[in-house]
Amino acid sequence: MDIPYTVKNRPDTGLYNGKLGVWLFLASEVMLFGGLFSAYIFLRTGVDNWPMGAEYLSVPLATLNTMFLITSSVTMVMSWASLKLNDFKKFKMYAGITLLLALGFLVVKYFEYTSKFHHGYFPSTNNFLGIYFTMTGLHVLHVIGGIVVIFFYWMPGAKMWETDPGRFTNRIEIVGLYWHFVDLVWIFLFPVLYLL
Amino acid sequence: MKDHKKDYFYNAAWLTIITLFEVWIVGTNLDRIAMVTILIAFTVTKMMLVALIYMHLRYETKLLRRLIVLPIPLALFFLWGVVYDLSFNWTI
Repeated sequence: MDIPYTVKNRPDTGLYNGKLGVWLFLASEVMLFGGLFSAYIFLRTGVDNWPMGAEYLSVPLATLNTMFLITSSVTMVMSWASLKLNDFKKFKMYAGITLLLALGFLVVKYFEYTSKFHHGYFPSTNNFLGIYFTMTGLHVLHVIGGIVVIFFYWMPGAKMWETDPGRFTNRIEIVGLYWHFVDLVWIFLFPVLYLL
Repeated sequence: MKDHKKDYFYNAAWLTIITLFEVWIVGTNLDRIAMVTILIAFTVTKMMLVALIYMHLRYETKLLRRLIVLPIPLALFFLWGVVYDLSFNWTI
């Protein structure tokens, strides 16, 4: 017996079950990051002097990382659009580029973190660095999670395209929703931590 | 779908332009409050562009759109409450 509503939309919600599930998951993620952003507001407004992000952090590197994530969002959505147009080769190409860009983000983050540690800046140094490492660290974990899932569907999981293309296309769509959410979180982290 | 493809690339161009503008504006001598207001406006714009175009909210069902949009005023009200409360400097 087939699992219902993996490809077709449910008549009551107008969505297939996987998509509804991912949106609920993303709602819980909003609460997780929302709590951290609230903590940031309290920490920042609770002291007279709060350092500018640029005093500790590299704005050019963060801008480069923003570009990586924006471009990876395009390639992610293009990989799904390619499947919709029955072009599996282009899906492989776009998903591969998405992985490369995500890895590029992690490499830049690695250099950022090691540079901080080299200068003696740790999460325990002050509240700014504490919240910086907490928020960006959690975001990096999300990026790694995204890489694992995208890689799975790029390599071993891609076999599903031959047996159940509709279901595979929907899976790529919901992976994309998660990946765009990771991009969204960075869109908020960038001005809050680096520019303000 | 082919029309959507164009939208995806135009959207990326706008996101890049807004990001570069954000970085540029921090280097100017603009008043602090104006700068913060502009940065928040840009960030919300970028959020909307990603959610509407890449996450396909623009093309989703009314039910899903309402479920996502309705809590936003509540979140803003909560944020206002937090910021308003901070000015009192409560001590225990």
